Amino acid sequence: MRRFVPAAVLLGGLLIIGAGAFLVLSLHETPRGAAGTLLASAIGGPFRLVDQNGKTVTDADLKGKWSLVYFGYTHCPDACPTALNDIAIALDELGPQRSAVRPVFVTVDPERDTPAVLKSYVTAFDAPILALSGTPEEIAQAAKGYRVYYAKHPEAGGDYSMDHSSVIYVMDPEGRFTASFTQENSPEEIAERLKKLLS
Amino acid sequence: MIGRRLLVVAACLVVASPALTQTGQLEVSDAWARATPAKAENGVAYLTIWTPTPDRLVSVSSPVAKTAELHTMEMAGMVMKMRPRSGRRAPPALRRSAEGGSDCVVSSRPLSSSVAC
Repeated sequence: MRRFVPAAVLLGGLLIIGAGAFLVLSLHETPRGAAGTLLASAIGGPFRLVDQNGKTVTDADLKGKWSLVYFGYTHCPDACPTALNDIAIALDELGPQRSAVRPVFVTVDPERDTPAVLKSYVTAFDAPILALSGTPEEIAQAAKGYRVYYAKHPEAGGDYSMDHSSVIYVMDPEGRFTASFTQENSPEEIAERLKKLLS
Repeated sequence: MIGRRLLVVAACLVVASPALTQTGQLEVSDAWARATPAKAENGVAYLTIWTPTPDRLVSVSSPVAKTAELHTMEMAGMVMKMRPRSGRRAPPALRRSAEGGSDCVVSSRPLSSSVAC
């Protein structure tokens, strides 16, 4: 029996590595078919939040259009404005098809990012961004659904920053996870990919 | 190109128009500021400081921001992290004081946003 242990460990290790590679690759490639179905059910999920106009928005409201979902916060000086800018530029490149895509910005900092703050923030971007806030519990649920990590990092003087996953999730009109983009993807790449998905 | 309605607040104390600014033996290069949304509280700018001898960056300030702070920016996997940094020691002999260009200064409003590392 003992001689099977190394083999079992090796097999287990390979399975873990394989699963990891699958997840990593899938995040960067459009998962379709059986693999895509698995991931589609793994990212997303139910949420109940409030938009920049104070209106309740749930995951059901995202259906009917493609959504580009990004979690961030308005005090974020680099990753978040860059992601939202990239989305705005990509939408510009889509031309008439842009109306089929809805950018969604979900705050991971509901303490500071009230609907009013979000409303003021997203008007700076040339895109019709749906900006969502909520109670800490509601945000936690949404982030959990999208496998988004975030954590408050206190700084001197009571200030703080937020560590957060910086990923743009592409959800199809049925609310299924379809693809993702990171800061490695240029707006042109995002637009190109979206054109293919929309066609 | 930036979104048409994005008001760029390039309020960086080190937006040097020449790519390289030399003051005595200290050199500052590659200074740039991230476009800051008009209503954002924080902005960010990056720069590289080169020193001929070991040195220490003790503070940063900006005439266009309420406060300016030194931070590091790090993308760990897909997670963005920002950490305060004080008294960054610059290595000797014209080596990059901000290795990998990951240091920066973040500052807060009002007046506008900004800056550097």
